[in-house]
Amino acid sequence: MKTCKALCLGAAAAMVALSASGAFAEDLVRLISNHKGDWSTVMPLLGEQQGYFKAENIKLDITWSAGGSDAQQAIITGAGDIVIQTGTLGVLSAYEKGAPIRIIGAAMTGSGGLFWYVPKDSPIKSFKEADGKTMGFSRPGSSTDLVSSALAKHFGVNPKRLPTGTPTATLTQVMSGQIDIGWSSAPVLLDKISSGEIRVIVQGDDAPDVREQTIRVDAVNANWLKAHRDVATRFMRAMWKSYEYTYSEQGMKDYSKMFDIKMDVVKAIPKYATLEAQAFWPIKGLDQTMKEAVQTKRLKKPLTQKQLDDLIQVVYKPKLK
Amino acid sequence: MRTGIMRAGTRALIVGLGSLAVLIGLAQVAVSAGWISRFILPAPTEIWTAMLELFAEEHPLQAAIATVGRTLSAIGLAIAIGVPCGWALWRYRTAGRAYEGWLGALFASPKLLLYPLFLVMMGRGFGTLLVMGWLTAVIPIVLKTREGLVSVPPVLIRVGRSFNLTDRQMLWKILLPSAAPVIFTGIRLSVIYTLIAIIALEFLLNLGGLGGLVDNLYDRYDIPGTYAAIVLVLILSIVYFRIVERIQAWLRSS
Amino acid sequence: MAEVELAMRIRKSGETRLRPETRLQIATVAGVWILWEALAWSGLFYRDIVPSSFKVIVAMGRLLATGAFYGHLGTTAYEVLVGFAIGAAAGVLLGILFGARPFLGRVMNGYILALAPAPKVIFLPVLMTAFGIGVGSKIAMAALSAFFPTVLSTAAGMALINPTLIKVGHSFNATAVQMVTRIYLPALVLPVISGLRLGLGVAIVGTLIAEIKLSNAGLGFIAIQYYERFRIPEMYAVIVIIFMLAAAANWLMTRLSDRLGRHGMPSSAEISGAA
Repeated sequence: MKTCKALCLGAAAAMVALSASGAFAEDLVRLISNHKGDWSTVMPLLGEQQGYFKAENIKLDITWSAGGSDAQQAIITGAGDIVIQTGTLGVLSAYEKGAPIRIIGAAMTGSGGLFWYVPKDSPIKSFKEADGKTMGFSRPGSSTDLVSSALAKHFGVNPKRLPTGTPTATLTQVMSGQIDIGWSSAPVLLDKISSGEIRVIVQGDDAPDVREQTIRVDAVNANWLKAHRDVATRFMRAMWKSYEYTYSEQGMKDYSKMFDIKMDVVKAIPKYATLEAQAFWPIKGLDQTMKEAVQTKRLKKPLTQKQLDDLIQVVYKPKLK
Repeated sequence: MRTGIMRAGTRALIVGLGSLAVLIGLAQVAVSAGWISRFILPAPTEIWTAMLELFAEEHPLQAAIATVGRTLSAIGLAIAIGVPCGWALWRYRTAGRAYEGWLGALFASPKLLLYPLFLVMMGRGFGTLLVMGWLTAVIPIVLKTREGLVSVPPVLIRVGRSFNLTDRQMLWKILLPSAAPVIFTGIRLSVIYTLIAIIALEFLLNLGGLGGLVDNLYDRYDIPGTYAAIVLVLILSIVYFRIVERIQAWLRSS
Repeated sequence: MAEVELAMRIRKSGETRLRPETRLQIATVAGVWILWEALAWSGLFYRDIVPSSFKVIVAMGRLLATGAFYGHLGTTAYEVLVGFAIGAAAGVLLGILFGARPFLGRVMNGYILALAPAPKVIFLPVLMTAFGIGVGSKIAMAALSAFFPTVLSTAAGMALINPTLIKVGHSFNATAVQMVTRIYLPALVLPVISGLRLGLGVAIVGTLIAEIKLSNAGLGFIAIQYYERFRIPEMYAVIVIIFMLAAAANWLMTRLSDRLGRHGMPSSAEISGAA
């Protein structure tokens, strides 16, 4: 009995020692990604296939959300570790309320991926003719809401902006004539652009203000970050490799095969979502973002610099080639 | 005897409300002490504050009226189409036998999942809500109308015949009044089911109303506000349900 | 003489083998299908919003041929069945409890009637927070959905049990377990089945909606993936499969309740629980 106990204790101690030393398997990272904006959000998937995460001793467990608060809430409650491509506004709002969330990098600066289009036989030839026409965005307070408003201001037009939901829902409203100008986010609907069915009349980045704003970030649970900062760094390193890979010829081929999208459509994507726009650093336009957050009731007042320093902890700054 | 039951009834009410109060108190303690994260369950005091803010800033009453209005429109349309269809299924027995099973299966089917299809067909708006609400409401009404007519006692029909009533008079003076209680059961079922469907769709598709309000608050990451709005949804469904019960009781007695 | 007549009648009915309602059903299906195809090819709707049934069938075939599909099917089935089992078991047990202890029943009645007509989908954020983003929250959603119809129909059934039966049980000094297994459950079979039918239906919807919102597997998940990539025929294919499975489950339940002698629609008490 006594020897048995001693043996068991010894074995347990050995296990603890071994696991502490990291001799065991990789670190598990529970990643939350979005359905929307397929291109950016599936890059970790492609990178995982190439073994980048394994090389950093990370095992990825990816869950897909329909976007929005669900993804963020999963991180805050510790059900997930990292969320990528989540809205900056949401993260600021959660942080102000004391949620344990931190930003570890920018995910999308500028809105090159966003575009507004009309059907091919629409009388509207350019965005300057958008006065009084109906223009879609996803939902109130979203980035598409803010960007469409910024575009209207910049071009000096006054369209009637309406929430139209997802790109899919928006497309059918445009094609059935309920809405004049629809929105989408690359690569969704790029195939229809190349086939000529729809015409792009304005892109998100056509407004200079928008270009300099980080609208989406990668965020983590604060407690997880404190305990696993090096895992976060390794994760972002592998992520960046995944990004670079996806933008390469071979990566695009993988993507084309995985999602059954024609290569010429895939090749058009970098025009909308450049690699530079997705650099993890710098995070731009926070003052503007905070102003909008207060406007849309997501923040009571702008965060102080001290709060920002606490919130933003970029763990890895990639070098752009 | 009667006072005994009444006392039991009020006693149950007191115990019920009392335990609710205790639960709320416990929740307050648990969240304040940090045992439960306030991002999972905000403290009841926070929810209360959020409730007050809600009424000050978000017009929840208007949202509730919108929700109920949409529900009633869908039901009205369902009654207008469903009762005649139910009559047709009774009148033409083959049709009734052919479709009853289908309607029963459709009744239990996950109709809510058709929303993406209607969304792309009809766009994001009142149309989709109306059609999906109508679809939910019409089935019980059709089934119960037929059931009600089928269960009209034959003696009543014979009486009508003996007075040489025309088909039309039969319908309005004998058949419908006799079938009315069952038909109203169907209407009551649809009234409840449709409110549920409308709120669910408003929530899922961000289409305004009380359901949309819950979604907006959650999207804004206002967790206490989200809970406050959910409480309002619960209150609405209690009130709505009670009113429907009262109406049915009143109709039964008249 | 009578036998000859009978034989003649049988031979006559053999010539028209289909009953009139079956013929009407076939005609209806054909009619609806023709209308659908007409709409699909008419160009009234933007392409693919009303996809031709051929496209949908092709998509279904492709779907059923990929192994990954069965993984998703398995996940959804697992979530539904486990959640349903938990919710239904809780519903039946608590329904019996509330029936056997009327005071407790009256107290809980208020709570249950308050929560029952609320659309459970609104509790999704809470469930995801409490049970995680994996199968846990989907199972919880299925259980929560299935609970209300079963508890309401069981409690209603308890009220209808012949009081003599209960007195008999008590007079034999039956333990609680014996009361449940020998007196209550046998008497409750029909109302419980009726509640279970409804409970399974709402458990399916709840699970799929939860999968749509946040998951990485399941039929709801792949349906929304197709939707967001504007692969409408594929989305229709998934939805058709879901409806067929739900219909099969409903048919099984109907068979079960028919064998036990009851048919028709659930009572309003059960309906109000099926939110």
